[in-house]
Amino acid sequence: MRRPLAAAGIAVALLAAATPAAAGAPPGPVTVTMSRSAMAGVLGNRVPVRATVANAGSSATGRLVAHLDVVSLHEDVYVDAEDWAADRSVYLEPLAPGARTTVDWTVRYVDAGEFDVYVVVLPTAPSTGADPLAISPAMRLVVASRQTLDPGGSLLVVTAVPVLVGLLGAGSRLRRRTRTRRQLSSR
Amino acid sequence: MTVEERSRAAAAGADLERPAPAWLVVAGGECRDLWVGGRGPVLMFGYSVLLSVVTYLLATNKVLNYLEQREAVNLALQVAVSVGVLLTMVIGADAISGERERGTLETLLLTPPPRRQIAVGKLLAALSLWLAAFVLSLPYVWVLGRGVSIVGSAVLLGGLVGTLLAIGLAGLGLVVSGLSGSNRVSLSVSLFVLLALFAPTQLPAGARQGWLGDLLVRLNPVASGLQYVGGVLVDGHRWTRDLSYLISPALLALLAVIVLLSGADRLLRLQRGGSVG
Repeated sequence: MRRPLAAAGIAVALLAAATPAAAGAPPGPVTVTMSRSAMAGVLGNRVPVRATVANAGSSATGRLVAHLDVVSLHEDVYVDAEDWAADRSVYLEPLAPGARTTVDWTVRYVDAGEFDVYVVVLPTAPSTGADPLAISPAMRLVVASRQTLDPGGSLLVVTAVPVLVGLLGAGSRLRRRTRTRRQLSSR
Repeated sequence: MTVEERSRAAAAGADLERPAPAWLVVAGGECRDLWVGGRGPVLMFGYSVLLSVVTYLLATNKVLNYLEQREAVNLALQVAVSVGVLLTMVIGADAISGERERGTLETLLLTPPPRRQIAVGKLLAALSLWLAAFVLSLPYVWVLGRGVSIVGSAVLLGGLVGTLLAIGLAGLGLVVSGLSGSNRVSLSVSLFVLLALFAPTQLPAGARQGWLGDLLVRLNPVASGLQYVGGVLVDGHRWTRDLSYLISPALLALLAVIVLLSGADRLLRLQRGGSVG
């Protein structure tokens, strides 16, 4: 008898978790949208990312904080979000009902691979447990690897310059020695 | 300087009919000593090898390759300026105390040119090393920066900031050299000063934020100058936007030259604190 009861309990719990109302987190009045749903680029690029925060409710919000995050979709690619964007948390003034504001970040592609960027908006006031988080849809980033510089072109310079300097130095030294020998022999 | 060069310096000081600038003659002799004597070419060879390694790593290393090309140019330029002014300071730090120890300062001091002109000649000779280092860095900057049209800006920035720092640090090296009892002390103090100046440039970006961090950067001529270079090259700031960062390098250059010239009589002596120069 215990197994069917346990299975029923788990099913109820899962159902409760899957239902927002049951979890006590109904969709809040604040919404966040991203300016684009996907972007592609190459390693090292800097791209603008814009999120729009709107108050769809009937009352003004408190102060809000919009936080940008980057997640790798592949286990083998590590993401240090600090490298991708500086000042990821942006503090927003209260929004009147129906008002909206935009938040801009510059994101740098630090790794190659597939990533999701999303923005979460939180109230800055101490949570009463009733303030839901507003989360934007994820923006998919596809970053291609590349050689930013031409190693072949640099090879010529990085070998030629020291060789030339060395030859000039050696030539100067040889000339000095020859001159000293001549002076000694003439005496 | 050789005896012949000392005689030439003497003639320059004594010849009233054709008053050749004595500082120029002294600078010529010091430059010959530096470049024909072999120290300059050896230092420049090491410098070019270092720049080659840095440039090749920036161009090929996959870990470093995420850097934008502007950042790669900035990094190479910072290494070029930093090491170039380091070498200039070392030459300055050896210029007086080194001659004292090698016993060659006496003949120079016996020549008629005023000590101030001798100091100027020595400063110019030390700066010739920076000039050579700067010229040597050009191909590296070009190879990293071509294609993003920042080579011109990088060269001008390197020349401007590097020259200010080189004048300041070479002057400082000469002052330390004149005040030091031995060449070893002079070189040690100069290197310590240089490391102290470069240390803040290695702090993480977060530590340099806030008013205190910004103040420390602005007070430090090296960090301040390199910050200006990075602002223009990497962040795309206008040249006039961060000009305040150039105040401390310019002040250092000015102060070093003033102290060197005003204190030349005391600095250029056979012994530190000696009564006869």
